[in-house]
Parts: sequence; structure tokens; C-alpha cells
Amino acid sequence: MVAPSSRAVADVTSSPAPDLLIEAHGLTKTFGDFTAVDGIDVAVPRGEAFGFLGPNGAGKSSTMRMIACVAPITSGSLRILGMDPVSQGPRIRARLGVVPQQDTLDLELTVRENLYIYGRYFGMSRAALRPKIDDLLDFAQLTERADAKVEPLSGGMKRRLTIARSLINDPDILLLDEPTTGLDPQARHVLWDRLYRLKQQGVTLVLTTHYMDEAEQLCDRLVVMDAGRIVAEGSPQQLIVAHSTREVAELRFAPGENAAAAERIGGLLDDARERAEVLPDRVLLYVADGERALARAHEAGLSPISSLVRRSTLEDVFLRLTGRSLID
Amino acid sequence: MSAPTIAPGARASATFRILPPGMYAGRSHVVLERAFKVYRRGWMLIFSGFFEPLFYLFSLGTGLHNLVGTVTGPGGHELSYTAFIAPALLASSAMNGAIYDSTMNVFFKMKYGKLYDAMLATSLGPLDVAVGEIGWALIRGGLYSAGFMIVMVAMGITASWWAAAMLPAALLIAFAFGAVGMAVTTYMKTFQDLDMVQVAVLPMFLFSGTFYNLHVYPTWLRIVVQCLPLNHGIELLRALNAGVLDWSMLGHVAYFAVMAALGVAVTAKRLDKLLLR
Amino acid sequence: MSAVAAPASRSHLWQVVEYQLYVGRRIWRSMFIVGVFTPLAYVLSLGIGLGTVVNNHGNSLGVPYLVYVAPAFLTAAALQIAAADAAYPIMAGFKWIRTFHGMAATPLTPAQICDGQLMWVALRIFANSVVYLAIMAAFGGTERWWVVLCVPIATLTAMAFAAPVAAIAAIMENEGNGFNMLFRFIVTPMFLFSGTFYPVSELPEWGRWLAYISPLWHGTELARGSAIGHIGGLAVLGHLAYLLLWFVVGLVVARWRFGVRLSK
Ligand SMILES: Nc1ncnc2c1ncn2[C@@H]1O[C@H](COP(=O)(O)OP(=O)(O)OP(=O)(O)O)[C@@H](O)[C@H]1O
Ligand SMILES: [Mg+2]
Repeated sequence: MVAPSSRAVADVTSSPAPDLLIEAHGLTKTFGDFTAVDGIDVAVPRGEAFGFLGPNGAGKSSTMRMIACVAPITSGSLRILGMDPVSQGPRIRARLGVVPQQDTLDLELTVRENLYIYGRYFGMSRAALRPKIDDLLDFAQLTERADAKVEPLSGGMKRRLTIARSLINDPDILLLDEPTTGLDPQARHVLWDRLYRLKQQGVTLVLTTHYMDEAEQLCDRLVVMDAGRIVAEGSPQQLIVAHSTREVAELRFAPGENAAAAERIGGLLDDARERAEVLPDRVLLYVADGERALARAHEAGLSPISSLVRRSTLEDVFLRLTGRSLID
Repeated sequence: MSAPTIAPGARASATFRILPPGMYAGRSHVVLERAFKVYRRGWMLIFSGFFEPLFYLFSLGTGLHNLVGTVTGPGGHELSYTAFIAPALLASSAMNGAIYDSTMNVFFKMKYGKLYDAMLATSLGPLDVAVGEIGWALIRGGLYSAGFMIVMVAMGITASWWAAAMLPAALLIAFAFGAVGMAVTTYMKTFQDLDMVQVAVLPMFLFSGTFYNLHVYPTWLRIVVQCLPLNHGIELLRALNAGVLDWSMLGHVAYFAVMAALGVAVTAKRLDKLLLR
Repeated sequence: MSAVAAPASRSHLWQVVEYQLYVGRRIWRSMFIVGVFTPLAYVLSLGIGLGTVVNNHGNSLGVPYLVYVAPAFLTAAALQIAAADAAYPIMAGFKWIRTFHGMAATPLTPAQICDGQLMWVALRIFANSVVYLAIMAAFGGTERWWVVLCVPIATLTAMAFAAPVAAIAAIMENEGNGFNMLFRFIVTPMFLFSGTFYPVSELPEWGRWLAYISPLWHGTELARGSAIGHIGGLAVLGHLAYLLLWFVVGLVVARWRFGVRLSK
């Protein structure tokens, strides 16, 4: 694969180029008396890949919809590309690419027509669209289905089309709400590759995901949301350092024995930063040195059915911060 | 951070200054383009809408001819029953088509199709969507009306060249009903609410003087019916078809202009509630 | 994740009741519109309003116009409602909600499922027709007791058309566009050209033949016969036989297609 020869800079001549493409202070969204987003501050500079993590209902999509200028904010302030979403919605949206959590494809049109009409919504000319559509069909691996109706496509194919569609206007900011949910591994890697290259070209990426590997791969910076608030912020590495230990030992005991074993191990841990976490099927030991912890457990007469030692990941951070499994 | 931004709406045309900013991108024609793409495949369905008023015209015009005899039309002229009901059927079908498009179609696209969600994630504004959808309904309505008028000419029941003015008049009627229909749709929550549209439209179709002169009614009922919009449409088209003009026609036109303006105003006001949540 | 379920409190129960009432109210509303409101509108506007014009013009029908058209309206309404009730719910049962596939997993046979659906349509039509008759009577649209026969006649006519529609619904694999066509090109013209508003002798030759084919015309003749009289025994038998033919053929095909569809 040939990398772009130079770091192409996104077209910024159309309006003044602010340093922060997305800037939110005290951003709040309520539905009735329920508060979905509770006064968050977000600042995303040009060219960054920014991620929202958080359990179901944390308020990620609500935030994304406000950033996409399709949902009005309840209070706080929000500026996108230096503009005000209320008064300049269309001008902002002209430069966004949006992949909503739920596909909003036009079921009455074919695959190709979906891309075409969507481009037309942005005011693009037929001539400009034609080569673009072929490229995007290829990217979405839907060239063969180009003239088929959208309705009978598989879920993953629809998702790919939605993603392809979001790129039709060469957006400055790409908003992806769980883009890879429902994609097979191969399609996921194709997407990652594309996103990586877009980032190289200066496109700003904002995404939500429940896949921690995806977040680690793609994001320069992340926030973890819970119950409408931001509970942690930083690069994946910073988050791991700040909220987890260096290594994790995973021990699996016979069903029903995990809790008792964890209790005993808890007494063996070195310092306050180290701890044991009981999951339904295994015990996680958050420690600086995994092998040593394992050895100690054996010495203490515990014999897990299986065990392994690995490095801490974002997943561990997530568990620690939200007290929940990732995909619950 | 510096954020010198261009004043919103600086480039929007004066017509749309009064609207909340960010509602209109001047691109409703692409919404039309989409409609053409969709209906290129479903042309039979469109085509079929043209026949309904014709069936009524042929059936009732022919069959009731002897039972009803001639009817007194505008200016006291005696008309055949077919000539009497034809312009009224044209007005009714303009209403029916516009209401159907602006309530059922819009409601289903909105609630189930997610179509408008996709449109509004782009640089289109809600008003582009509304104008495009109403425009499409008008084009369809215009085609039906033109077809129906050709049949009327062929049957020799148009009395003067003024009859040609029935086409813009029918479009005005359709526009007014479409705008009000869309405004009402913005308040609907479930699809059972669409029943209520039926409750408004059916009696209007049956009682507004399509099939007989209003003098069969007791006075109070006549006054009620004369306030209903369809009756104005029927009176207007009947007069145009007969070529009997008077100042009251301006009143009918004004009635629909006000209706259309109210409908558009309410729709525009409600649209972001409806589409941007 | 917390596994504590909220105990079913009294307020939850009340919410369920409220919900049922809410849903129920919607269904009642829609049934009221179809069953009472629409008949009223037709009887008042065309039966009485247009009737005034016809009666003033030296009505040659032998009876007041309302008495003449009301039984025809009743029959036509029955047929239209039955057609819609056979078309959309049956298609949905196969395609969208797949209830029939669920039923077919029980000891029910496809033919029984088919009969059950049609029976349900017939019951509704019968009830609607009773209401329609009451509305007619309330506005002086009835002259003799025989008119009560309109109810079974309308039900038979409606079913004579509903059975073939059910067969089509079971055959149709794609979404309802075909039904839009059915209603626009068959059901509406049938209403207009089956002697509902005037004797078919007012129509030109070709129009008359269209009426003779249509089951609605036969039903209308029978219903009008019961309301006014002036109908021969042989004619009654002929109309009945024709309607039964439609019904039986429709039913046989519908049962067969239900079987084919449910054994896939
Ligand atoms: N239109 C709405 N009306 C009422 N409540 C809403 C609406 N949209 C979202 N909510 C509520 O707001 C909260 C946050 O929802 P949101 O979709 O932002 O969560 P999320 O973080 O994207 O979750 P997920 O991971 O499941 O996608 C939820 O409790 C949800 O029920
Ligand atoms: Mg979400």
C-alpha cells in the first residue's frame, strides 16, 4: 500500500481555521427530567482521533448527535468548526461526515443511488460524484451489489454502506457512532486502514466504540463517560497508567470457587494499588508483576484450572472506572 | 480561541430572513430529485392515482344523469350533471392527493423510514426537506390535474378558456391542503392519529357540494359548509370552468393563500421539533 | 450488572391497565370511524343530500332515494372492509409478524388457519352491517322488515370477495403494492359501477357487463330486493349461486395456498 506522499491538509479556505474543531463547555442534554449528558467539557483539535467510551446509556450517542448538529443542546456551549450549531447548522454539517449508531439508509433506493443522492444533499455535482461513488463502492466492497436495493442487504453490508456514505463529501470531521458494530473482522480492518489514512490527511475523527482494541488502535485521546459525565480522560496509555496496574493475572477456578479464592488471594497482594476483581468466570489480579502473583497463589495452596498473565489494557481501565463489563 | 464567523443567513435570500437561522440551504430540488428516482420504479402507483376521480366522473356523470337532470351552475347556467361535478372532483382530488402526501407519506417516512434523519445529517435544512416534499406533492398533483383537465376538454365540458386557469387554481388548493396537512402531521405521535385525518377529509369530500348544490341544506349547515376550505375550492374551479367570473373568486384565492401561509408558518416552526430532537 | 428486579408494585399494575385502556381506546376509535362515522357521512350526504335532488327531479325509482341507495351502501361498505381485512392482516401474518407460521407449529392445519381468519372477517362484517342497518333505520332509510336480510346478504357478498383476496394475500410474496392496485383498480370501480347509486340500466352496454361480472352488483341486487321487494325468486337463486361460486372458488384456492406457504 502506498502512503500518501505528503500530509495533505484539509481544505480550510472556506472558513477561518480554529485550532479546536470541537469545543464544548458544560454540554448538557436532557430528555424531560432525565439528564443524558451532564455538563461535559470536550475539546478536539484539528487532526486528532478522539474517542468516547462508556457503558450503554452513558450518553455517548446523545453527545455525538449534538456534535453532529442534529440534536439541539439543552445548555452549555458548543462550537463546531468555530461555528454555532443553532444558527449555522447547515454550514457545519456540510463539512461533517456522520455514521449514526443506527443506519439511516434510504431503503427505497439502490446502493449506488444512496451514495449519489446523499452527495447531492451536500450540493455536489453529478460529475464530481461519479468517480467518488465508484471509489466508495469499492471501499465498502459493494461494487457487485451496486444496483441492488438496500433493503435486503445484510446488516454488515448496510453498515459498510453507511460508513461509505459518510465519506462522500470529504468531511473535515468524521463522526462515527459505533462504526464497526456488526462488521466482520476483515471489514473492520479495511475500515481501520481507511480511517488511519484519513487521519493522515488531516481529517479529525470522533468515534464511540465498545471495542477496546479499536479504541487503542485508532484514538489519540479518549474520554470514558458514565451516567452522562466524563470520568476519565487521556491517551490510551495514560489511562492505563493512571487507572490500572502494569500487568493482570487471570485465574480460572472451578465454578463457584472464584469468590472464595479471590478473598484468599486478596490478602496476598503487595500494596494498595494492587487488587483482585471477581468476574463470574474468573478472578483478575491487578498487579505490577503477574508471574510473581501467580507463584504466590500457588504457594498459598490455590490451584486454578487455568491461568495467564497479560498486560493491562483499556478494558481493565473501563472495568475499573465503570464497574461493569464492557458489553453488557 | 478566535471564532470570527460570518453572520448567519447573510447569504440567505430575503424571503427566508424571517425564519429561524439554519433552516434553509436553498437545495430543495435535490429532495425532488430523490423522489423522481424512487418513483421511476413505482410509476404504476403514481399513475393509478390519476384514475380515481375519473372513475367517479364516468360513473356518477353517466349514471345519475337521468336521475338528477340538469343542475344550475355558476351564473345561473344549466349544466349537465357531468359538467357540474367534474370541476368539483378536480378540487376534491387536489385535496385528497395533497393530504395523503403530506400526512401519511410524511408520517411514515419520518417515523419508520428514518429518511429525514439522513437528510438532516447533511447540509440540508428542515425547510429544504419540507419545500422539497411539498413541491413533489404539487408536481404529482399538477400532473393528475392536467390529465383530468384533458379528459374534461375531450368530453366537451369546459365552457371557456378560463378553464385553463383551473390548473394553477388546483395547485393552489393542493398547496394549501398540503401545507396544513404537514403542519398537522407535526403534531402526530402514533399512526393511529392518521385516522383523524380521515375524519376531517371524508365529510369534507361528501358535504362540500361536490355532488349537489348547497341549497338542499338547512341554512345553518350551508353556512358551516361554506366555511370549509374544500367548498371554496369547488366554487372556484366551478366558476373557472364555466367562465363565469366575479369578485368572490378573489375571496376563495385569499382563503387558500392564508391557509397555505398558516400551514407553512406552523410547519416551519414545528419542523425542528419534528425532525431535530 | 445489578440483577435486582423491581417488585411488581400496585402502580405497575395500574400502568398495565392504563396501557390497555389506552391501546383499546385507539382501536375503538378506529372501529368507530369505520363502523359509524363513515356510514353516517354517506347516508347523510349522498342518501339524504343527493336524495333531495333526485326526489325533487321526479324520482323514477319508485321509492325515496335513501331507501334505494342505503342497502347498496351497506353492501358496498361490507365488501370494502372485508377486502381490506382479508388483504393486509393476512399478508402481515405471513410476512411481517409471521403469526401463521407460529400457529402452523401447533396441531392446527393450514386450512383451519385460513378458515379461522375468514371467520373472523365474517364476524366483523356481520357486526358492522348490523350497525349500518341501525343507522339506515334511524334516518328513515328502511320501509319493511325484510330489510334485515341485508345483513346476511352483505356478509355473504363481502365474503365472496374476501375469500379470493385472502388467496391473493397468501400467494403474494412481495409487499403490498399489489393491494394498492387491487383497491384502486378493482374495489373502487366496483363500488362505482355496480349499480350502487343508480340502476345499471343507466350505464352503457360495456358498463353493464362490468357490473354483471362484479360480485358487488349481485349482492346489491339481493340487498335492494330485500329492502324494496320487486325481485323474482329465480333472480334471487341466480345471484346467490354466483356469490357462492366466488366464495367457494376463493376459499379452495386460499386453503391450498395457505398449505403451500406454511409447508415451506
Ligand atoms: N430521544 C430520547 N428520548 C428520551 N431518552 C433518550 C433519548 N435518546 C437517548 N435517551 C436516553 O439517554 C440516555 C443516553 O443514551 P445514549 O443513546 O446517548 O447512550 P449511549 O452511551 O450511546 O449508549 P449505547 O452504548 O447503548 O449506544 C439513555 O438512558 C437513553 O435512554
Ligand atoms: Mg449509543
